[in-house]
Amino acid sequence: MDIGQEGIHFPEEILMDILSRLPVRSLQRFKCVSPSWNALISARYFVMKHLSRSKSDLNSQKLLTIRRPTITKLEFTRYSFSSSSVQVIEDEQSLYWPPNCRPAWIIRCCYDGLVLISTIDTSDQRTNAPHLLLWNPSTRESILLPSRENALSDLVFGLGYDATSDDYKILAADVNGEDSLKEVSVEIFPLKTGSWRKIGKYPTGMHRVSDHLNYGMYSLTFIHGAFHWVGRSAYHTIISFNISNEVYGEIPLL
Amino acid sequence: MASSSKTEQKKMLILKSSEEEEFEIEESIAVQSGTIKNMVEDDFTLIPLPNVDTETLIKIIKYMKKHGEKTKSNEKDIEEFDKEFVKKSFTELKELVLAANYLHITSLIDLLCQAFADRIKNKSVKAIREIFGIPNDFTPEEEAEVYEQHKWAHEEGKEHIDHSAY
Repeated sequence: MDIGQEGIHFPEEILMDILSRLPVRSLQRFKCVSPSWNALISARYFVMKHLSRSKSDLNSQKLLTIRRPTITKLEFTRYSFSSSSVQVIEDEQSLYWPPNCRPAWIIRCCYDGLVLISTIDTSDQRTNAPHLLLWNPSTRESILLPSRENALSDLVFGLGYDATSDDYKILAADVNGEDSLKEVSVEIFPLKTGSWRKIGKYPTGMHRVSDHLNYGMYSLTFIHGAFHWVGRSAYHTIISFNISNEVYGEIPLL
Repeated sequence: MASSSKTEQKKMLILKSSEEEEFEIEESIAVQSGTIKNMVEDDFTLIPLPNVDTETLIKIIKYMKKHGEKTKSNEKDIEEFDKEFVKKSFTELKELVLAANYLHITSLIDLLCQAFADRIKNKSVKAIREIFGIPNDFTPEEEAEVYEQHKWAHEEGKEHIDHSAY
Protein backbone atom coordinates (compact mmCIF):
# COMPACT_ATOMS: atom_id res chain seq x y z
CA MET A 1 0.00 0.00 0.00
CA ASP A 2 1.37 3.36 -0.92
CA ILE A 3 1.62 5.63 2.07
CA GLY A 4 3.50 7.90 -0.29
CA GLN A 5 3.70 10.90 1.94
CA GLU A 6 6.56 9.47 3.94
CA GLY A 7 7.48 11.46 6.98
CA ILE A 8 5.08 14.30 6.27
CA HIS A 9 3.59 14.74 9.64
CA PHE A 10 0.73 17.16 10.11
CA PRO A 11 1.16 19.37 13.15
CA GLU A 12 -1.79 18.73 15.45
CA GLU A 13 -3.10 22.29 15.19
CA ILE A 14 -3.46 21.98 11.41
CA LEU A 15 -5.14 18.61 11.69
CA MET A 16 -7.56 20.08 14.25
CA ASP A 17 -8.22 23.05 12.00
CA ILE A 18 -9.15 20.74 9.11
CA LEU A 19 -11.24 18.41 11.26
CA SER A 20 -13.10 21.25 12.93
CA ARG A 21 -14.58 22.13 9.53
CA LEU A 22 -16.08 18.68 8.98
CA PRO A 23 -19.71 17.71 9.50
CA VAL A 24 -20.44 15.60 12.60
CA ARG A 25 -21.21 12.48 10.61
CA SER A 26 -17.73 12.49 8.99
CA LEU A 27 -16.10 13.02 12.37
CA GLN A 28 -17.95 10.10 13.93
CA ARG A 29 -16.70 7.88 11.12
CA PHE A 30 -13.14 9.16 11.34
CA LYS A 31 -12.89 8.09 14.95
CA CYS A 32 -12.17 4.69 13.40
CA VAL A 33 -9.07 5.95 11.59
CA SER A 34 -6.73 5.40 14.51
CA PRO A 35 -6.63 5.58 18.33
CA SER A 36 -5.02 9.02 18.17
CA TRP A 37 -7.71 10.38 15.84
CA ASN A 38 -10.34 8.84 18.12
CA ALA A 39 -8.81 10.62 21.10
CA LEU A 40 -8.47 13.91 19.24
CA ILE A 41 -12.03 13.98 17.93
CA SER A 42 -13.48 12.94 21.29
CA ALA A 43 -11.46 15.50 23.26
CA ARG A 44 -13.49 18.23 24.90
CA TYR A 45 -11.23 20.94 23.55
CA PHE A 46 -11.85 19.76 20.01
CA VAL A 47 -15.61 19.44 20.54
CA MET A 48 -15.80 23.04 21.77
CA LYS A 49 -13.65 24.24 18.86
CA HIS A 50 -15.95 22.48 16.41
CA LEU A 51 -19.03 23.93 18.11
CA SER A 52 -17.65 27.43 18.07
CA ARG A 53 -16.88 27.19 14.37
CA SER A 54 -20.36 25.82 13.60
CA LYS A 55 -22.01 28.59 15.56
CA SER A 56 -20.25 31.29 13.60
CA ASP A 57 -20.85 29.69 10.22
CA LEU A 58 -23.98 31.26 8.82
CA ASN A 59 -24.28 28.51 6.28
CA SER A 60 -24.54 25.74 8.81
CA GLN A 61 -27.66 26.74 10.71
CA LYS A 62 -30.09 23.94 11.41
CA LEU A 63 -33.78 23.77 12.14
CA LEU A 64 -35.57 20.91 13.83
CA THR A 65 -39.30 20.49 13.41
CA ILE A 66 -41.64 17.99 14.97
CA ARG A 67 -44.93 16.96 13.47
CA ARG A 68 -47.65 14.72 14.84
CA PRO A 69 -49.71 13.47 11.91
CA THR A 70 -51.55 10.94 14.05
CA ILE A 71 -51.84 10.44 17.80
CA THR A 72 -49.25 7.71 17.86
CA LYS A 73 -46.87 8.99 15.22
CA LEU A 74 -44.24 11.66 15.52
CA GLU A 75 -42.05 12.96 12.75
CA PHE A 76 -38.85 14.86 13.20
CA THR A 77 -37.29 16.65 10.29
CA ARG A 78 -33.97 18.43 10.25
CA TYR A 79 -33.41 21.26 7.85
CA SER A 80 -30.26 23.09 7.07
CA PHE A 81 -30.54 26.63 5.89
CA SER A 82 -28.16 29.11 4.45
CA SER A 83 -28.81 32.56 3.08
CA SER A 84 -29.90 31.11 -0.23
CA SER A 85 -31.84 27.95 0.48
CA VAL A 86 -33.53 25.62 2.91
CA GLN A 87 -32.86 21.93 2.52
CA VAL A 88 -34.06 18.85 4.29
CA ILE A 89 -31.07 17.00 5.65
CA GLU A 90 -32.71 14.28 7.61
CA ASP A 91 -36.18 12.91 7.52
CA GLU A 92 -37.95 11.03 10.28
CA GLN A 93 -34.73 10.62 12.06
CA SER A 94 -34.55 7.60 14.23
CA LEU A 95 -34.01 8.45 17.80
CA TYR A 96 -33.15 5.71 20.21
CA TRP A 97 -36.19 5.68 22.43
CA PRO A 98 -35.59 4.94 26.09
CA PRO A 99 -37.37 1.73 27.02
CA ASN A 100 -41.10 2.13 27.67
CA CYS A 101 -41.15 5.55 26.16
CA ARG A 102 -43.82 6.38 23.68
CA PRO A 103 -44.41 9.50 21.74
CA ALA A 104 -46.13 12.49 23.25
CA TRP A 105 -43.03 14.50 22.68
CA ILE A 106 -42.71 18.19 23.24
CA ILE A 107 -39.60 20.16 22.52
CA ARG A 108 -38.99 22.22 25.65
CA CYS A 109 -35.90 24.21 24.80
CA CYS A 110 -32.66 23.99 22.91
CA TYR A 111 -29.15 25.41 22.99
CA ASP A 112 -25.85 24.70 21.25
CA GLY A 113 -27.41 21.98 19.16
CA LEU A 114 -28.87 20.17 22.19
CA VAL A 115 -32.63 19.71 22.55
CA LEU A 116 -34.58 19.07 25.74
CA ILE A 117 -37.67 16.96 25.16
CA SER A 118 -40.35 15.77 27.49
CA THR A 119 -42.17 12.55 26.77
CA ILE A 120 -44.97 10.68 28.46
CA ASP A 121 -44.98 7.01 29.06
CA THR A 122 -48.40 6.32 27.64
CA SER A 123 -47.92 2.58 27.70
CA ASP A 124 -48.35 2.45 31.45
CA GLN A 125 -51.77 3.86 32.36
CA ARG A 126 -51.07 3.84 36.04
CA THR A 127 -47.99 5.94 36.25
CA ASN A 128 -48.06 8.04 33.08
CA ALA A 129 -44.57 8.91 34.13
CA PRO A 130 -43.15 11.86 32.28
CA HIS A 131 -39.58 11.65 31.11
CA LEU A 132 -37.12 14.31 30.25
CA LEU A 133 -34.64 13.58 27.52
CA LEU A 134 -31.63 15.62 26.50
CA TRP A 135 -30.96 14.90 22.86
CA ASN A 136 -28.20 15.78 20.44
CA PRO A 137 -29.69 15.34 16.93
CA SER A 138 -26.28 15.77 15.29
CA THR A 139 -24.59 12.92 17.10
CA ARG A 140 -27.78 10.92 17.79
CA GLU A 141 -26.88 10.67 21.46
CA SER A 142 -29.39 11.16 24.24
CA ILE A 143 -29.51 11.09 28.02
CA LEU A 144 -32.55 10.34 30.11
CA LEU A 145 -32.77 12.79 32.99
CA PRO A 146 -33.86 11.73 36.46
CA SER A 147 -37.57 12.16 36.93
CA ARG A 148 -39.12 15.25 38.43
CA GLU A 149 -41.68 15.67 41.19
CA ASN A 150 -43.63 18.58 39.73
CA ALA A 151 -45.98 17.87 36.91
CA LEU A 152 -44.03 18.68 33.82
CA SER A 153 -46.89 20.73 32.43
CA ASP A 154 -46.31 23.34 35.13
CA LEU A 155 -42.67 23.70 34.28
CA VAL A 156 -40.93 25.91 31.78
CA PHE A 157 -37.35 24.94 31.01
CA GLY A 158 -34.21 26.69 29.89
CA LEU A 159 -30.89 25.26 28.73
CA GLY A 160 -27.62 27.13 28.83
CA TYR A 161 -23.85 26.85 29.11
CA ASP A 162 -21.86 27.93 32.15
CA ALA A 163 -18.33 28.88 31.09
CA THR A 164 -17.15 29.10 34.70
CA SER A 165 -17.76 25.45 35.41
CA ASP A 166 -17.61 24.36 31.75
CA ASP A 167 -20.96 22.68 32.10
CA TYR A 168 -24.41 22.73 30.55
CA LYS A 169 -27.25 23.40 32.96
CA ILE A 170 -31.02 23.09 32.75
CA LEU A 171 -33.27 25.39 34.73
CA ALA A 172 -36.87 24.50 35.53
CA ALA A 173 -39.33 27.08 36.85
CA ASP A 174 -43.00 26.33 37.52
CA VAL A 175 -44.20 29.56 35.94
CA ASN A 176 -47.26 27.75 34.70
CA GLY A 177 -48.35 26.71 38.18
CA GLU A 178 -52.01 26.97 39.11
CA ASP A 179 -51.75 29.01 42.28
CA SER A 180 -50.69 32.47 41.22
CA LEU A 181 -49.84 33.50 44.78
CA LYS A 182 -47.63 30.55 45.60
CA GLU A 183 -43.94 31.26 45.19
CA VAL A 184 -42.36 30.15 41.94
CA SER A 185 -40.20 27.11 42.55
CA VAL A 186 -36.96 26.98 40.61
CA GLU A 187 -34.60 24.04 40.23
CA ILE A 188 -31.33 23.60 38.44
CA PHE A 189 -29.80 20.53 36.82
CA PRO A 190 -26.07 20.80 36.07
CA LEU A 191 -25.18 17.98 33.70
CA LYS A 192 -21.97 17.21 35.54
CA THR A 193 -23.75 16.54 38.83
CA GLY A 194 -26.57 14.57 37.26
CA SER A 195 -29.17 15.68 39.79
CA TRP A 196 -31.73 18.43 40.41
CA ARG A 197 -31.15 21.01 43.11
CA LYS A 198 -33.67 23.49 44.44
CA ILE A 199 -32.85 27.19 44.22
CA GLY A 200 -34.00 29.31 47.12
CA LYS A 201 -34.49 33.05 47.62
CA TYR A 202 -36.83 33.79 44.74
CA PRO A 203 -37.17 37.59 44.39
CA THR A 204 -39.64 38.73 47.02
CA GLY A 205 -42.99 39.93 45.87
CA MET A 206 -42.59 38.48 42.41
CA HIS A 207 -45.50 36.48 41.09
CA ARG A 208 -46.37 34.56 38.00
CA VAL A 209 -47.93 36.25 35.02
CA SER A 210 -51.19 34.77 33.88
CA ASP A 211 -50.71 32.48 30.95
CA HIS A 212 -46.98 32.51 30.34
CA LEU A 213 -47.53 31.64 26.67
CA ASN A 214 -48.90 35.11 26.10
CA TYR A 215 -45.42 36.29 26.95
CA GLY A 216 -43.79 33.89 24.54
CA MET A 217 -42.42 31.85 27.42
CA TYR A 218 -42.24 28.46 25.78
CA SER A 219 -38.81 28.23 27.30
CA LEU A 220 -36.61 30.32 29.57
CA THR A 221 -34.50 32.54 27.38
CA PHE A 222 -30.76 32.10 27.90
CA ILE A 223 -28.70 35.12 26.99
CA HIS A 224 -25.65 36.92 28.42
CA GLY A 225 -25.02 34.03 30.77
CA ALA A 226 -28.42 34.19 32.44
CA PHE A 227 -31.90 32.71 32.13
CA HIS A 228 -34.74 35.19 31.78
CA TRP A 229 -38.48 35.07 32.22
CA VAL A 230 -41.34 37.45 32.97
CA GLY A 231 -42.79 38.00 36.41
CA ARG A 232 -45.15 40.52 37.95
CA SER A 233 -45.18 42.58 41.09
CA ALA A 234 -46.39 46.13 40.94
CA TYR A 235 -45.52 46.05 37.27
CA HIS A 236 -44.20 43.49 34.85
CA THR A 237 -40.57 42.61 35.36
CA ILE A 238 -38.01 40.50 33.63
CA ILE A 239 -36.41 38.18 36.12
CA SER A 240 -32.92 37.01 35.38
CA PHE A 241 -30.97 34.15 36.93
CA ASN A 242 -27.22 34.01 36.41
CA ILE A 243 -26.09 30.51 35.45
CA SER A 244 -22.66 30.78 37.10
CA ASN A 245 -23.16 32.55 40.41
CA GLU A 246 -26.90 31.74 40.67
CA VAL A 247 -27.83 35.30 41.53
CA TYR A 248 -31.24 36.73 40.65
CA GLY A 249 -31.68 40.06 38.91
CA GLU A 250 -34.68 42.16 37.93
CA ILE A 251 -35.35 44.38 34.97
CA PRO A 252 -38.58 46.29 35.51
CA LEU A 253 -40.60 46.96 32.41
CA LEU A 254 -41.88 50.40 33.16
CA MET B 1 17.93 45.10 -8.39
CA ALA B 2 15.89 47.34 -10.66
CA SER B 3 16.98 50.94 -10.66
CA SER B 4 13.61 52.55 -11.15
CA SER B 5 13.05 56.25 -10.51
CA LYS B 6 13.16 57.26 -6.88
CA THR B 7 9.44 57.94 -6.59
CA GLU B 8 8.66 54.44 -7.90
CA GLN B 9 11.19 52.55 -5.79
CA LYS B 10 9.62 49.72 -3.87
CA LYS B 11 11.57 47.82 -1.28
CA MET B 12 12.42 44.32 -2.53
CA LEU B 13 13.24 41.21 -0.57
CA ILE B 14 14.88 37.97 -1.59
CA LEU B 15 13.31 34.71 -0.48
CA LYS B 16 15.55 31.67 -0.55
CA SER B 17 14.10 28.17 -0.76
CA SER B 18 15.49 25.09 0.97
CA GLU B 19 17.19 24.22 -2.34
CA GLU B 20 18.98 27.57 -2.25
CA GLU B 21 17.04 29.12 -5.13
CA GLU B 22 16.35 32.83 -4.78
CA PHE B 23 13.23 34.79 -5.62
CA GLU B 24 12.77 38.53 -5.61
CA ILE B 25 9.52 39.89 -4.21
CA GLU B 26 8.16 43.26 -3.10
CA GLU B 27 8.31 43.68 0.66
CA SER B 28 4.74 45.01 0.76
CA ILE B 29 3.53 41.73 -0.72
CA ALA B 30 5.82 39.43 1.25
CA VAL B 31 4.66 40.74 4.61
CA GLN B 32 1.37 38.91 4.18
CA SER B 33 3.50 36.25 5.81
CA GLY B 34 3.77 36.90 9.54
CA THR B 35 7.10 35.07 9.68
CA ILE B 36 8.62 37.22 6.93
CA LYS B 37 7.19 40.37 8.50
CA ASN B 38 9.00 39.59 11.75
CA MET B 39 12.27 39.07 9.93
CA VAL B 40 11.86 42.31 8.01
CA GLU B 41 11.36 44.12 11.31
CA ASP B 42 14.70 42.66 12.36
CA ASP B 43 16.21 44.23 9.22
CA PHE B 44 16.57 41.12 7.06
CA THR B 45 16.33 41.57 3.30
CA LEU B 46 17.52 38.08 2.39
CA ILE B 47 15.05 35.68 3.92
CA PRO B 48 16.18 32.04 4.08
CA LEU B 49 13.27 29.58 4.20
CA PRO B 50 14.87 26.20 4.89
CA ASN B 51 11.47 24.58 5.44
CA VAL B 52 10.04 25.45 2.04
CA ASP B 53 11.15 23.78 -1.19
CA THR B 54 11.37 25.65 -4.49
CA GLU B 55 8.22 24.27 -6.06
CA THR B 56 6.11 25.14 -3.02
CA LEU B 57 7.70 28.56 -2.65
CA ILE B 58 6.84 29.44 -6.25
CA LYS B 59 3.18 28.63 -5.58
CA ILE B 60 3.15 30.62 -2.38
CA ILE B 61 4.68 33.65 -4.05
CA LYS B 62 2.03 33.39 -6.75
CA TYR B 63 -0.67 33.36 -4.03
CA MET B 64 0.78 36.32 -2.18
CA LYS B 65 1.16 38.32 -5.38
CA LYS B 66 -2.47 37.72 -6.32
CA HIS B 67 -3.73 38.56 -2.85
CA GLY B 68 -1.40 41.51 -2.61
CA GLU B 69 -3.28 43.23 -5.39
CA LYS B 70 -6.68 42.78 -3.77
CA THR B 71 -9.06 45.69 -4.28
CA LYS B 72 -12.79 46.13 -3.88
CA SER B 73 -13.40 45.43 -7.55
CA ASN B 74 -11.46 42.23 -8.11
CA GLU B 75 -12.99 40.09 -5.34
CA LYS B 76 -14.64 37.75 -7.81
CA ASP B 77 -11.38 37.40 -9.67
CA ILE B 78 -9.52 36.44 -6.50
CA GLU B 79 -12.24 33.95 -5.59
CA GLU B 80 -11.73 32.27 -8.96
CA PHE B 81 -7.99 32.23 -8.41
CA ASP B 82 -8.42 30.60 -4.98
CA LYS B 83 -10.74 27.97 -6.42
CA GLU B 84 -8.20 27.02 -9.06
CA PHE B 85 -5.30 27.30 -6.62
CA VAL B 86 -6.55 24.42 -4.49
CA LYS B 87 -7.09 22.07 -7.39
CA LYS B 88 -3.96 20.13 -6.57
CA SER B 89 -3.06 16.66 -5.35
CA PHE B 90 -3.21 15.92 -1.64
CA THR B 91 0.58 15.72 -1.55
CA GLU B 92 0.91 19.22 -3.00
CA LEU B 93 -1.79 20.57 -0.66
CA LYS B 94 0.06 19.07 2.27
CA GLU B 95 3.33 20.73 1.32
CA LEU B 96 1.47 24.01 0.86
CA VAL B 97 -0.34 23.95 4.18
CA LEU B 98 2.85 23.08 6.07
CA ALA B 99 4.63 25.96 4.35
CA ALA B 100 1.72 28.36 4.88
CA ASN B 101 1.69 27.38 8.56
CA TYR B 102 5.44 27.94 8.89
CA LEU B 103 5.11 31.28 7.10
CA HIS B 104 2.02 32.34 9.09
CA ILE B 105 -0.10 33.32 6.09
CA THR B 106 -3.49 33.17 7.78
CA SER B 107 -5.72 33.52 4.72
CA LEU B 108 -3.81 30.78 2.91
CA ILE B 109 -3.95 28.41 5.90
CA ASP B 110 -7.70 29.01 6.00
CA LEU B 111 -8.12 28.38 2.28
CA LEU B 112 -6.07 25.18 2.33
CA CYS B 113 -7.67 23.71 5.46
CA GLN B 114 -11.12 24.34 4.02
CA ALA B 115 -10.07 22.69 0.74
CA PHE B 116 -8.85 19.66 2.67
CA ALA B 117 -12.06 19.47 4.67
CA ASP B 118 -14.25 19.73 1.57
CA ARG B 119 -12.33 16.98 -0.16
CA ILE B 120 -12.09 14.49 2.67
CA LYS B 121 -15.51 14.70 4.26
CA ASN B 122 -17.03 11.83 2.29
CA LYS B 123 -13.92 9.70 2.20
CA SER B 124 -13.83 6.20 3.63
CA VAL B 125 -11.76 5.48 6.74
CA LYS B 126 -9.23 3.52 4.67
CA ALA B 127 -8.83 6.38 2.20
CA ILE B 128 -8.20 8.79 5.07
CA ARG B 129 -5.42 6.58 6.41
CA GLU B 130 -3.75 6.57 3.00
CA ILE B 131 -4.08 10.30 2.47
CA PHE B 132 -2.68 11.19 5.88
CA GLY B 133 -0.19 8.34 6.07
CA ILE B 134 -1.69 6.92 9.25
CA PRO B 135 -1.11 3.31 10.21
CA ASN B 136 -4.07 1.52 11.73
CA ASP B 137 -3.04 0.96 15.37
CA PHE B 138 -6.41 -0.40 16.38
CA THR B 139 -6.81 -4.05 17.18
CA PRO B 140 -9.76 -5.50 15.25
CA GLU B 141 -11.78 -5.63 18.47
CA GLU B 142 -11.06 -2.01 19.36
CA GLU B 143 -11.96 -0.83 15.90
CA ALA B 144 -15.18 -2.82 15.92
CA GLU B 145 -16.11 -1.20 19.23
CA VAL B 146 -15.55 2.32 17.96
CA TYR B 147 -17.47 1.44 14.80
CA GLU B 148 -20.45 0.16 16.83
CA GLN B 149 -20.61 3.35 18.89
CA HIS B 150 -21.30 5.40 15.80
CA LYS B 151 -22.73 2.77 13.55
CA TRP B 152 -25.32 5.11 12.05
CA ALA B 153 -22.62 7.41 10.75
CA HIS B 154 -21.04 4.54 8.84
CA GLU B 155 -24.18 2.77 7.68
CA GLU B 156 -26.54 5.52 6.68
CA GLY B 157 -25.79 6.96 3.29
CA LYS B 158 -22.86 4.62 2.75
CA GLU B 159 -23.47 4.68 -0.95
CA HIS B 160 -22.05 8.21 -0.89
CA ILE B 161 -18.76 7.21 0.67
CA ASP B 162 -15.74 7.84 -1.52
CA HIS B 163 -13.01 5.19 -1.33
CA SER B 164 -10.38 6.84 -3.46
CA ALA B 165 -7.31 8.36 -1.85
CA TYR B 166 -7.08 11.18 -4.39
